[in-house]
Order: sequence, then C-alpha cells, then structure tokens
Amino acid sequence: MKWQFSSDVPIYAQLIAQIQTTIVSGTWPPGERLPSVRDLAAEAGVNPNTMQRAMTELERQGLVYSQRTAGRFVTEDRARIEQARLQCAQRQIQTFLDGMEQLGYTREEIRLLVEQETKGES
Amino acid sequence: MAVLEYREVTKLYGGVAALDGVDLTIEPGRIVGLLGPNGCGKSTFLKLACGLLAPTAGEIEICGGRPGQPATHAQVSFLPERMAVPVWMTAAQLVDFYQDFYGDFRRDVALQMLSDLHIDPALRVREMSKGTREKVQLILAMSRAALLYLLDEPIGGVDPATRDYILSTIIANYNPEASVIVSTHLIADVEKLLDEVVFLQNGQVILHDEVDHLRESRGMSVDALFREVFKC
Amino acid sequence: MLKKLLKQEFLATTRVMGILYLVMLVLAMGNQLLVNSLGELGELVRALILLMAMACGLATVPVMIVRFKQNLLGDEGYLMLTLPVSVHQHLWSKLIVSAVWSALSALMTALALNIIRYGSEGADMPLISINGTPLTFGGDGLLVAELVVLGLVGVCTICLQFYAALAAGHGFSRHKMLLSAVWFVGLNAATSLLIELLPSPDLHFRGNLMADVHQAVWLIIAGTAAVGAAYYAITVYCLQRHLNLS
Repeated sequence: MKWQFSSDVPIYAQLIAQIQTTIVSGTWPPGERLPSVRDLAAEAGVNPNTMQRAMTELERQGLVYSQRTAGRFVTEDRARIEQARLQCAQRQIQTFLDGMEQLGYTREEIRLLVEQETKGES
Repeated sequence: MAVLEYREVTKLYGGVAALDGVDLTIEPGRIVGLLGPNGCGKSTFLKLACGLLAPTAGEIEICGGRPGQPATHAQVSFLPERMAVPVWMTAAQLVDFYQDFYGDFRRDVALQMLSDLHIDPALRVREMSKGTREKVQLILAMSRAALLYLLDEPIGGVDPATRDYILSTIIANYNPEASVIVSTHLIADVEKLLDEVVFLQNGQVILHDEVDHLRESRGMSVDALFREVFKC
Repeated sequence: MLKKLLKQEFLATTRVMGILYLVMLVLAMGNQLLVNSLGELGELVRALILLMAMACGLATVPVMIVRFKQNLLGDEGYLMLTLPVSVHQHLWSKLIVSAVWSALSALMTALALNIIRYGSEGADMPLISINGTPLTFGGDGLLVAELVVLGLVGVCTICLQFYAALAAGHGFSRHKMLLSAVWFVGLNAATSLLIELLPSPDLHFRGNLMADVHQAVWLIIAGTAAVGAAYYAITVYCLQRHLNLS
C-alpha cells in the first residue's frame, strides 16, 4: 500500500485513516493477517510506537483483532467493516460539502452539479 | 528506568556556554530528535553523553552508569559527526574491528547493509567518497544491538535514496528496550520517525514534547514549527 | 581487551615502522655501493648515511608519540575513546607497542651500522669500544639485561612524558598544542626540581666495582620508573576527567 502524510495532522491519526481505507476497500480482506507492526512501520517510514498506537485504536474500533501468538488480523465481522465504510464515505461527503460551501454553492446547486457530473459517467 | 538523564548540565568553552543548565530524561524505547540550528549545542550534548567531554557542572547518567566508563561504552553506540575510523582500514577490517570490541555487534547485519548499499568490503576508507565514508560509519554504528544509539547528523551528507534506506534501517532495528537520539537539521526527513523532539537553542532546551502532541496542539508539522521558532 | 588493542596497535604501526626499517636497510646497502665508487667523497657520504640510518632508529619514539596524539586526541579519538576499554588498557597497549618497536629499532640500527661498517677500515673492531678496547660488560650477562630493562623503562617514561603533556594540553578548549608544549616544559622543570630536592640515596659502595654498578643501574631504573608512574597518573587523570575533544 502507498503511504502519504500531510503535515499538520498527527501521524497516528493519518495512519488510522489510511488503514481504515485499506480495510473497507477490501485491499486487506476480512480475516487477512496483517504484517507486523515493525514491518508496517518500516514500510510507511514511521515510528513503530506510532504504528502501534494506530493499531491499538483500530483494535478498539473493532476493525482488527490480535491473537496472542498468531498476530493481528482484519476483523471477520463484515457488518462492522460495512459500517466503517459508511463512516468513511460520510467523512468524504462532509469534506466535499465543506469545500463546496466555501465556494458559495447552496445544497441544491451542489446536488444538481453532482447529478450532471455523474450522468455523463453512467 | 531512564536510559539517559541530564541534571542541570552545563558545559563552558572558554567562558561561553555551549550547554546551559540542561535537564532532560530519555525513556527506553523512544526515538528522539535533537533539533536546533548549527552551533546550538547538539554535538556538545552527544559528546557529553559518551564522555568525550567532561561537563563543567551538573550530572549525567547513561544506561545506569557514568559517561566514559567501559561498561557504558559497551551499551551505547555513538555515531560522531566527523570521520573517526582510521583511513587506512578497509570496510572489512572495520567490521572485524567492531566485532572484536563490541559483544553486541551483528556481523551479518553489517555485511548485508554493505552489500545493500553496494560498498566493496575490500575498499579502504581513504579511497571512499565522503558519502560512502558516512554510510560505512553509520552501518557500523547501527549494526550493534545497543541500548542507546547516539547519532550525530547521520543523514547530513547522503543522497535522498540512501537517506530513506538509513531511516528504514533505524526503524527495522527498533527495539522496545532501546532508545535512539538523532541530532539533525533535516527535520522534514526524520519527522515521521520520531516519538519526541527536543529543540535546543543557545545551549538550552526550549521545547521537549511528543511529535503527535505537537502536531495536534499546534496544528502544524514539527518542521513548520521549527521554522517558526528559529526564524531568522 | 588489551590483547585486541595490541593487535590493533601493531596493525596500525607496522606500516610506518616497516617503511622506516626498509629505508634503513636501503641506506645501508646503498652505502656499500656508493662508497667504493665515490673515492674521496665516499667518507662524507658514509657519514651522512650513518647519521640517516641512526635517525631512522631514533624516529621510533616520535612515531609513537604522533600515533598517541592522532589515535586518542584527534578525530580517531571519537572511535577509540568510546570503545568499551579502560584508559589504562589504552595506555598500556601504547606503551607495550612502543617498547617492542624501540627494541626492534635498536636491533635494526645495529644491523644497519654493521652493514655500513662492513668492508671499511676497522670493520674487524667491535662495535662498542673504548680506544679500541672492546667493552664486554665484563662478560656480565646480568648487566646487559639490566641495561635493556633501563632502556625499555626509559623509552616508556619518555613516551609518558609526551602523553601526559599532550593529554593535559588537549583538556583545554583552545591552543591545545601550545598548552601541551607548556605542559611538557612544566613537567620537565617539575621533575628536575624534584630530583634536586630529594635526598640523594645513601649508597653503600662495597668496593666491588660490578656490585656497585648493578646497584646504581637498579637505582636509576627505579627512579625512572617512578617518574614514569607519575606521568602515567597525570595522563590517566586527564583522559578520564578532562577530556575535551574538539
């Protein structure tokens, strides 16, 4: 996976968001065994403690779970993944709406624009 | 227990303070950035820790002992900012030298890194480019399984590709018992690697905090914060 | 660890000493070829070559002192003084290596001188003689051994005086070499003063020349060693407590 970081958000928060995307998009399917924290940290070029912190938070969210000896896995609870996927989508939409509002569009104008834009694609 | 503790440490050079009443504790398992402009006391800080300088006042405790003792040297891996290895030796001879003196030296790791960076073990230090010399010193320092790594400007003189390799080496070497202190002015490159940062200015610690906490509370990267704090 | 340090010291110094010995032998051999073909000028050349060969032998101590400064007080000090090795081990390795090379240099110088003498007038005369009478030390092997010990102790003490002065001078932040020189002069003065002040030992001459000579030599050895020990203590103190690598 590609890791990208912006400068002003805490790195652990960015790690959580990017791993969530990897899981809900199915790049890491349910039940998949994750690489070790150290390997993931080396791949992303981040501090292993920070990666550990992100993993702990993802465990708390129920997206991954760890087994004492076998390692860490993506959850097999598909409903939970779907729910997280929806949350990600909602976040994206909110970001989009905020941006459009800054440009001075009303909700109705935005809806029309989106409809126009997606009509050509389908 | 802390791996490094400075208590009111001051170092004067002919009346001028290179380090001025520094109080600092580094816990195990931390990767710490020692940041500041040139001449702020970064090198002095590291040289005091390994006993190459004696403090004018204050006390330093390192890996449970005093700096400069054989027992502490055995646990601390120091990378000086200058070339310290004898120029007449080859890379292979240096590997033997390190293995001779350091019980924690991992020969296979060193040889692997030399080959990864395409350095001929039969090459003498004298015949190496400046960048290659720096790589060799860093490989030797990182090939030890030490309790504390003191790295003085480890990525200053190498190209970006090697820089990435070196930083990933530091991560791959990470050990929850060990700590790494990296002094550098190339903050953007190491920022993601760090647990915490120490800003040094005129020999004083003006900031010591966790990187993520800083980003959260100040809403900017450490690099941006550094530029703001040390604005000329 | 001392063994490992010694190995490293010999590795590092063999190249320099090897070159010195090579120069000595080449000079000595060259002398044989030159002198016979140069005639009148030959004697002058011979004297010059003799001096140069002896200078090579005498260069041992300066080489060891430069090695000390470069290896412990220069950039290499960053590596050497962060090894898990005590200052005592560093010093002993340097002293042992200096003593070994000095002994070898003495042998090499003697060899070179003998080669140079070969075929010249008086080549059949013994090397050490007083007005043609060979000095045989009265056939006393013990005295020879004592003189060797004195030589080695002397070399170590000379080295230590330089080590102490360098270590002390490099404890300062600036003018390290100048202050080292000041320290050297100071150590010299302090040592002579001490020797002046100390009561001269009450020697019991027993009328037996050889016994008296033995006694005197041992006394000189002990005195030299005592001075060396003081320099050693100063060097250790400076390296342990007042290191100031720039």
